[in-house]
Amino acid sequence: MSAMVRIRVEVNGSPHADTVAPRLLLCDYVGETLALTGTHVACSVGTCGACTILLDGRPVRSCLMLAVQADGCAITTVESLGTEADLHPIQRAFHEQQGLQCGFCTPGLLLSVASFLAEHPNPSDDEIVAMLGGHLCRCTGYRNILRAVRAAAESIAAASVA
Amino acid sequence: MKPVDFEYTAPRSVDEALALLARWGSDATILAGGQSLIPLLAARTVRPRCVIDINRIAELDVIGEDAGGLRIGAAVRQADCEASPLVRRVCPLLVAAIGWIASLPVRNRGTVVGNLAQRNAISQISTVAVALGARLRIAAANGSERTVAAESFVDANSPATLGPAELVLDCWFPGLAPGTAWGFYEVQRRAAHYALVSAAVTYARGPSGNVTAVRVAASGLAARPLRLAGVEAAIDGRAATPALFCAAAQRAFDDPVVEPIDDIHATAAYRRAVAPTIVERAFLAAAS
Repeated sequence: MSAMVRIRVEVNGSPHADTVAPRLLLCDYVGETLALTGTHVACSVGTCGACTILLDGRPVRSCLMLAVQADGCAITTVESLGTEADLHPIQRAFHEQQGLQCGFCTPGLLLSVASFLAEHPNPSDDEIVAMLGGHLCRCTGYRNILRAVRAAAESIAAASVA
Repeated sequence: MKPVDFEYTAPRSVDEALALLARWGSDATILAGGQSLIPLLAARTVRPRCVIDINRIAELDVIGEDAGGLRIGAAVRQADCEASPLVRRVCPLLVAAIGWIASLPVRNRGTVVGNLAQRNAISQISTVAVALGARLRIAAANGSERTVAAESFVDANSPATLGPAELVLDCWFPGLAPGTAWGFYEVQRRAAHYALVSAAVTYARGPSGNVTAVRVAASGLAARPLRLAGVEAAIDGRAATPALFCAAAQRAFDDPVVEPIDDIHATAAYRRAVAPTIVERAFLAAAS
């Protein structure tokens, strides 16, 4: 066995220290070690976008990183957004616009959208479509997701004015 | 999927990385952005005894202006190049090409130099590197250093161009002189997927308004992106018009090396049929 590695990360705002095997993938660290099961893994080659999380605020594929590489970084997962009783505005928009059906791709999408709207508070449809290119959804046909992102942008903008 | 067990090292300097390469040789693999390597590790196609992670080497995470071009270090991420005012000013063609690579989450980790080091025949960055005449700087564990033209480095059919104890330090891309026209275009099966055929174009406008110094490279037509000398000759010295671009793009197959890629993403016949249109659209993007 190779030497285990000590890592320190911030997970959804709280500090964490763990000892991990070098070969542990970041998605497995999140799902198994941290037991944050909202992050889904599908293709394992970076194509589908289901496992997308934020690393220091930027969307990355957690299936395409080793956990040891996250040492010193802030990890943000879908669990940071809202609760069933108190949905995040992006989650509420996806719910109301039916931007999901089976929901498998949704956690990754929500984090990409959160990062995207922070940088594009008033996005054009072309910008939204380009961002959605990084996420596969087999249920919705994307029309409802497009509506949900538009609605989320409007509701966040309205809340920031109020 | 789980990679095989391996030692993990994260050197802080190039010297330290080279010493590790000297020690581990072909048992080691370099981890840069990891967007190609991690799936290969997870599928156990690549089974290293040691992974040398170069992401914490600050001296490799530098974009510098050098000799009229850009020197991009081996740890510089594609998304950081896209966002860099320096890269946007000196080599906007590279920024345009990077925008076609996969999706933002992949570009947030993937590196420019790591992309070249994959020697993937349809790499957008390779296409730009061949079009402009980029050069890679490679260091060896014995202290020597060499420079290789990207055009020969990225050839997927050439024997391994990187030795087991060698590390690519950076890639130098020539800058575009002010007023240079540039364009990039490609076709994919769907958004964020592989390029089937891509084309990168630059040209200058002479005093009479005619096109000079044309450079065009395309991917998908061989085991590496090719300069299209026939297209360049058909355009050089003439007035830039859509009709000229359309006619010249038909000369994409003049080079006897052309043998379009035939794989699960597209047939050779499709690539041959679509290539002139992609080349033409790269010129139209440059002219607009």
